[in-house]
Amino acid sequence: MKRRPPPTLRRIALEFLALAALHYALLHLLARARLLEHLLAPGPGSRIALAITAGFLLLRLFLIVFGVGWLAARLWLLLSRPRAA
Amino acid sequence: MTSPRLPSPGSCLRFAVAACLFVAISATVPRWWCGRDGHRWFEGDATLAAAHAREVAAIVARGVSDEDFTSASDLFRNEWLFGTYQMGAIALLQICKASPEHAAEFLPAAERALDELLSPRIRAFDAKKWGEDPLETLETSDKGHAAYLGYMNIALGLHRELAPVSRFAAMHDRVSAALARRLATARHGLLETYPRELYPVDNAAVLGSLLLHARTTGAGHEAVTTPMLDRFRRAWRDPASGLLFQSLDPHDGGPLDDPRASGTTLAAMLLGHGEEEVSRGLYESARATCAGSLLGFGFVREHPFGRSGPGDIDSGPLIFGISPSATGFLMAPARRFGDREQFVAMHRTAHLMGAPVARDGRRGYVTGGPLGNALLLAIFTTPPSRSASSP
Repeated sequence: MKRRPPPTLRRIALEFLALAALHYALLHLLARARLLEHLLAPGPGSRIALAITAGFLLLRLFLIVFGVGWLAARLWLLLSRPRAA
Repeated sequence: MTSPRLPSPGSCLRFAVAACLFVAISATVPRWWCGRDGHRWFEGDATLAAAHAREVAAIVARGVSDEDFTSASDLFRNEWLFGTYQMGAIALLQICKASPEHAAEFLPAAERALDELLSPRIRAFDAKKWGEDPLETLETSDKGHAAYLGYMNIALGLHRELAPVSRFAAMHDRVSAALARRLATARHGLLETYPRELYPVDNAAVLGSLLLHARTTGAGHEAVTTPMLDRFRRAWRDPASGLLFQSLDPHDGGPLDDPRASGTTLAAMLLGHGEEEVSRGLYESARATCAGSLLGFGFVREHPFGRSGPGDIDSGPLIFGISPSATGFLMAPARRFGDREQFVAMHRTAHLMGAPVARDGRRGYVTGGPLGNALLLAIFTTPPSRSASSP
């Protein structure tokens, strides 16, 4: 079985920045929408709004609560990787 | 086929360090990051308050209609419309009082919100439920109108504190007199919100507003406020948890719904405008039986730990029993009574799930909408008690 190559510093940084950019874009996009009403009392036309909101909040939860620790752990694993002889 | 290789001791150590890094950073950095604004709000940062107040003033200036809300219920849409102007007025008036240098900017917006509250358009939901207009029948009716009159009267009282003589003063006196007169003859000692619907939390607004009226004008409402305060100490609270019963039976005055945190925390917030002893008691009960935290992010359960039950429009959608409304409301008495740790813990959650964003010199919460932003500003700017000390 072919082993997946370990992530490079460039890939780790790009993945993290992509998530942060997506969060930033959604934050400013959703700032123009009204969401609380959909969350408190979903109506018949609330499905798409609720799905986008749930996706945004999950992304935000991951980025803020776990993102930095996840980034640090990945960087540590990269930097402490044994060098090939 | 090759057997998987066991990790070398060095490899185990690498992964153990990675796991420790992940846990240590996740337990400390988000807590610090999301808590920064909580400390600023707690300390009354005028710049932060002004930026959020500009968002609320813009909402008031733009105007809100029931079409801005998505609930299928006509009543809920119009209650939220009313709540947006009511909480907006309270928030802006609290800022004018705390930072007089901002009064010129925000007092006109607060007065516009008061004008809206008094308008036939905003009070129509209450008139429809009762079959009579709440303001045109102030002197002639004995019906409760507890929510519309009680919540609105708090906003009028806060305006009276800032401007003792204004076009709102006479209405403040009339509403207060009507509430006191109706309470004096009210069955079970509290006013109905709608026909045959009794909610202690709405009566906390009535009582808070009467005590505020007494403080600002010297009017004597003790004949009705003293026995009502006593009922808030015991009769309307669950003996085990100290939480306020969410609703009462209009026939016998007994509990009709569970003791719940959303009503208790909102009552502590509303009553705090008029007095502190009972408000503090409600806050301490909710904190002791329903509040918790995970990684420094605070939450409030709708039902006490060890009990479960459904949520509703008052609690917001319950996730693992946690009430978004109660989690927000608890910050108001926490700030009033100087409980920084609890305030900041709850604010971390509000920051995480509310997603604040700044643009055009204003600052608002993405998931807040008109009502959420007005409400959060009213909560964050709750004035500290003069005798504030951490419970």
